[in-house]
Amino acid sequence: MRAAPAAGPRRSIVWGLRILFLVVVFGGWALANATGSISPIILPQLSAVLVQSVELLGEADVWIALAITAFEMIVGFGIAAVAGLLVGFVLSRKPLRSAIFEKLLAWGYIFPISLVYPLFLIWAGVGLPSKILFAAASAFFPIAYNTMRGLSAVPARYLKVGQAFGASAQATDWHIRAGAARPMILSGLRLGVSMATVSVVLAEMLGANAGLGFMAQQASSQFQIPQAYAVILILVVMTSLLLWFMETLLRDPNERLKK
Amino acid sequence: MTSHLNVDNLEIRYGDTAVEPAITGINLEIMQGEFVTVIGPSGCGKSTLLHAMGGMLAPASGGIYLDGTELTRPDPRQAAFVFQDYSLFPWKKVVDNVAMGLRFAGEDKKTALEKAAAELAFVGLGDKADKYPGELSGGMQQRVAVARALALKPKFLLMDEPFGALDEQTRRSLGQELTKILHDAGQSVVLITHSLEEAIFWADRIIVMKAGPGEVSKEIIVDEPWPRSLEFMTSERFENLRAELFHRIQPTTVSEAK
Repeated sequence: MRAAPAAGPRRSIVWGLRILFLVVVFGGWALANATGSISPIILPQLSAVLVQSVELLGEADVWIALAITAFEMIVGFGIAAVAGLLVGFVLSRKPLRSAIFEKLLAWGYIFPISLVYPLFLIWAGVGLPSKILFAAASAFFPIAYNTMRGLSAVPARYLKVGQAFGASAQATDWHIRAGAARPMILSGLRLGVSMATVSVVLAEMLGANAGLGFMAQQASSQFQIPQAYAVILILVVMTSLLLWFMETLLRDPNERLKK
Repeated sequence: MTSHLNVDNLEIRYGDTAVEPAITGINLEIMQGEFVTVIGPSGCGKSTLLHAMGGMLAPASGGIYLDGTELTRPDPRQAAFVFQDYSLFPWKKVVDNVAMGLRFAGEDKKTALEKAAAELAFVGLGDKADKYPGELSGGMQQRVAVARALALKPKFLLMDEPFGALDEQTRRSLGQELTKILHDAGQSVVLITHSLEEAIFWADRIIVMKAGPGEVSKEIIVDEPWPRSLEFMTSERFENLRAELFHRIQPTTVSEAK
């Protein structure tokens, strides 16, 4: 018999607690401002940050910077997704290839790639291409690794069905291997989105001439702390929306059964 | 034309260096519309025989012939499988799972989905087409697996302990229902089972196998008319057949245990 699904917390409770968490964070911030317990250089007035955010959103420069950052993230992730899926698929075809490259991909997965960002600046300059390539390189490893692992570990019973029902090699790849590996592939893509997002912002802060990361770095280096916080706030909202969109796009249809 | 599946002096070995064949010297002839059950101790090669009948294992010697033509690779329109663990694709809807066998066999998507929907209705799951397998009970999932095989209108249905993963009550009720459907449709079936009751109650003929190496030790005809009632299961004849099967399987099992 099918087991009864475990009852999870109600959505309204989850959202209520999320809002409460934000109230506590911003309330604590306002309290710290009011008591003067934290220096405004470290934690500026919340009201000043909010005013600065509204003002920034009225300026064309911020929207241009936002578009540049989003463009770098999306293109970088796109390149990583195509390359990662292709490499993962090719490596999964032969057990020897998987054995040779699995450790290498895993190593690339955990390597702090920001250490080599200066090389990207040398190779591709300070403009957009270095950010896109850096984001692509960061996101490539989790996507390729998960794709290879997912496609290599398809349960034998599914492949047996394909064999018994006369599936061609292409049909086996497309309908069985890709389907069975989908949760791992989607997980790799979701990780890739996060990696690309973090990498672009980091790259813009380390060496760039445009983008939200660059704006935040410029503001903080000039001690315009409320403006730096405002840019970071806009960045958080933008990346959250982008991640939410990608999460929705990459959600496994079967996940609804687990809820 | 009446189809028949002929197993001719079949021997299967796992690997070239295997000292003892998995099964050897198997000779069987299964006629269209016949319901054959195969029973024997664990490791006697029942599943090996079934996989060979479906063209999934290459014989070391001998062969499988369907209407005189040697079966050298899986052909689900000739012999389609139902596996113990259902092996449905959890990422596809029920109707797509049933259609998948047809798609693999070359049907276009629209036709495959129409036939799949009809086959689901045939096994009583017409209203579950848009569910995912994980939303169905074990018994329903096995019906979907049967529908997937039947959708191809195979000459022979090869069932490898199809009810082995179900609880006793579901196993009995689903078994009775499905075997009635298959008998009414005139479907030829070869069914592997561990259950003495299943082997007798559903069979026109029982193939008893012994282990070490796997061979056919006895064929028993069950000439009880269809449809079979529950009274047959409590009859003296049923008990006699059960006792005979028990004794035929028991010595091999005991020697294996030693």
